[in-house]
Amino acid sequence: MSRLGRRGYTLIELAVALALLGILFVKLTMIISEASKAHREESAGMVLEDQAQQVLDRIAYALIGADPDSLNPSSQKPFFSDRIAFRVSLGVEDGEIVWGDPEVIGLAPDPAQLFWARNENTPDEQIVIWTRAVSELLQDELLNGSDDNVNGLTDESGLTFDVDGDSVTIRLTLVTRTKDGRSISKSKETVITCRN
Amino acid sequence: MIPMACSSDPDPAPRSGARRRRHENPLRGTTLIEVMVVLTILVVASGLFSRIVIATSRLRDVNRENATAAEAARKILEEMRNQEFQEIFELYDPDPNDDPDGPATAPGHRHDVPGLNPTSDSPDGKVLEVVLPAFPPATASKLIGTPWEARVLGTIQGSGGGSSGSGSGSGPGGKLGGIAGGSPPATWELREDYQDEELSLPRDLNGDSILDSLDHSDDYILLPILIRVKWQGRYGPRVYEVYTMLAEYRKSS
Repeated sequence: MSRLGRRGYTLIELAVALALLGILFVKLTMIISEASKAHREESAGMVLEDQAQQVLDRIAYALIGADPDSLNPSSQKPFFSDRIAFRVSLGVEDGEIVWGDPEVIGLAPDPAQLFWARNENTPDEQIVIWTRAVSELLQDELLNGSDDNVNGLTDESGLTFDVDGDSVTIRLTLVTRTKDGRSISKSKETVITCRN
Repeated sequence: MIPMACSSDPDPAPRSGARRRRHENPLRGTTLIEVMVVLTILVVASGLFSRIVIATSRLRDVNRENATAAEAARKILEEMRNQEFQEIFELYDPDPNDDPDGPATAPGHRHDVPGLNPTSDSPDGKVLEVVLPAFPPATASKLIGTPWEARVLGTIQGSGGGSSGSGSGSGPGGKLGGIAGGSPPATWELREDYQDEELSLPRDLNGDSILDSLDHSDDYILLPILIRVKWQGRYGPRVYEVYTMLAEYRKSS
């Protein structure tokens, strides 16, 4: 092997290679960082969406067995309520319908908390918080006296019920913040008709 | 073979058995064939990985679209349950003239679903359709392929709402009661004699144990319903269908 064939790298070659590698590394880091951030946000959004769907399903299944005459308040569009009280039928005994204890679903004094309660404000009171991520206002709604999200309601909160006959329309917006402070919100809406 | 690159080892004295087995020239680089094999493996591996990532992403989109369609179908069924039972047919059939509160005041049979785009063959840009056993009187006889004899369930009775005739085969000779021989009614008909597996028909819809060829839009006690959501998905046209049957179930007030 000749001396020329065994020569190493010059300082210039090394510097150029290092510079190129540096640029490549920085670009790669930026791409990975952006992808990772997008993935984190999407994951957070999906988790929030799943949570919103689960909470909405729980509300729907609770209300679907309710007596429509027991719904209180029975606010009809454009009026709405952020809580609803109801009773469910437990069955029939001696020809009479046996009603369960009164139940309530609504926003707690901390409006981010959505709760279900049985026998509210009594010694037998049971309360379960179903989520702590309720948005102050429904998605795309602003506190300005207008119906910004064109759903027929004005300045509605992150949880709303409006009753039409035996049907209840339930709207829910959950919100969360990513590590870098960005806000993500997900909304769900459904209609149920009380069966009892 | 063409050497591709040089080893940086200046003193390639063989030390281990593996090295001893190598070619005499320890400075040899990687051959083109080796590079090609490695590159092929890398390309195949990255291709498989990309396909998995893309398939996962597609599945997520498809699941989201399906969930939207299912929720829309469920929502329209809940809205139908909230109506007076005897008005459901008139409210959700394709006929705007029989709407209880005046022409074209009912929700009708086709609806938008936010988040889902219509297919190119959608006649009105809507994606959700409520399918009922409803037929315009003028074309009902053309829609029904085989005339269905009015019969007491299990026994062929005759035609024209069980009024006359007996036997088998063509029964009423292709006539459909309520249509043939008389002036057609102005509104669409709810028919129980239509042969449609999707709607579980024919079926006795008014509870008189007779399958006849009359309009039962005023006296049905069962209402078969098919909700069909047809949309242009991100990866092609998609359809979601749900079938159910409504019955009068509410407590008397």
